[in-house]
Amino acid sequence: MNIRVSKWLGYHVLALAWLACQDESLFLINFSLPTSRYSGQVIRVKNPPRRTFIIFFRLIIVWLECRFRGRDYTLRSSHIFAPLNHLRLHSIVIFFSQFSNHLFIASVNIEISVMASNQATCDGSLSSTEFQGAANAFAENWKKFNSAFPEWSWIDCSNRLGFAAHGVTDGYLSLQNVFFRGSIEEEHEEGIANNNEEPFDNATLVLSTGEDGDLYDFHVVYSPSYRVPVLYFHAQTTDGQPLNQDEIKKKLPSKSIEVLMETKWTFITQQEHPYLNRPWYMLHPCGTSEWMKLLLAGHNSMDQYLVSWFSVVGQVFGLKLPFEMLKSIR
Amino acid sequence: MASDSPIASRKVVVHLRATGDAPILKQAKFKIAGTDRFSKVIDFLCRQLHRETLFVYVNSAFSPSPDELVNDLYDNFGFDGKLVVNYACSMAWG
Repeated sequence: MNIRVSKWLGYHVLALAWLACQDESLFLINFSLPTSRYSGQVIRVKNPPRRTFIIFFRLIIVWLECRFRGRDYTLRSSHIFAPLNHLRLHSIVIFFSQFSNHLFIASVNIEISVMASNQATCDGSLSSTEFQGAANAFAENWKKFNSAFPEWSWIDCSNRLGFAAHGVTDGYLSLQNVFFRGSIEEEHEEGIANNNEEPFDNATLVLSTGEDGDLYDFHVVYSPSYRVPVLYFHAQTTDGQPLNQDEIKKKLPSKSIEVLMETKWTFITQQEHPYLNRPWYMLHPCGTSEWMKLLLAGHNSMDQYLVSWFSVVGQVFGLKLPFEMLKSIR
Repeated sequence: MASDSPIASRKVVVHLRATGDAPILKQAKFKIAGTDRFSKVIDFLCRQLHRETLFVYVNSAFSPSPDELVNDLYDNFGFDGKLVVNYACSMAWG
């Protein structure tokens, strides 16, 4: 259990740790500042007034989620009473301000990774084990129906520091060297659904700056904080020159550019790749669970999650899924 | 006459269903030429609802590419003589 104590002075610090799944009793840790960091007195409350505290913690989590996503905080009763089985709360550090009589949240340590995989959640997100299952199913499906394209492969990163200890397999899906000739728009016209034909149309080639085309690498990485898959990508010209954001935008299909202009924020952002630790572009996942919730409505299995998901994110690049693959969503 | 015409020129009944907080249309079923692309359905919805972006999807399962032909979508995912298209007001991507 990890409890962090802020260094703010003048506040009475109340640290609450609620071990949701291991032990249902409540730990109240009372720190008085300024003292050394872990000298707090631990009071174990054997039979906490559960209902009150559970509602209280759910309020905090809902509030955090709203804040995290940059939305206004609107509370619905379903938020409070919905089962919280997808989260394990390790610790919350709360400040009680003596001046304004309000509680402030300083830090939260939530673990989301461990979850029973047979519990299908309908909130548009999935657990990391479900992600692996869905990733395998997606790669298999892609190989079967989309043979004109390179294959997705699972890059195993289980030996990464920190994960080996948990015994959790870890990794991401990777699709290397997807070739877009000239502008993605031109390739887009041909469509990758036609397996029989050559997927790239040379006839409508618009010469950009003399180069033949661009190579894209796509990685599907699981985001533990959003609990959704995230598409990371990297683009380079055939001679190895990486493309910058403006160049990528210029070559996207016109429909994607429209959406790019209309959305208030740019949905392509540059971020450190969580496994490669290099800057990659990514499609920001903050809205993903919202629309995935719609696409998952009435489906119990998470295995086809990535097929539904890719039908949306692939559109950014004009990548289409064959109908046979989409039909497999049942 | 419509039944005699070849598949290429047939009309497809599109059933537009609102989900979430999206407003409901007065008329939910429309006929659209099968040779039109799906983007026409999206544009039509956006115009009707006065919104710049909508999340439009089929069969509560996937979101078709805007350049898919309505005919192809109907052949693969239509049933009961119509293609069910859901729409919601959430952001498309991001």
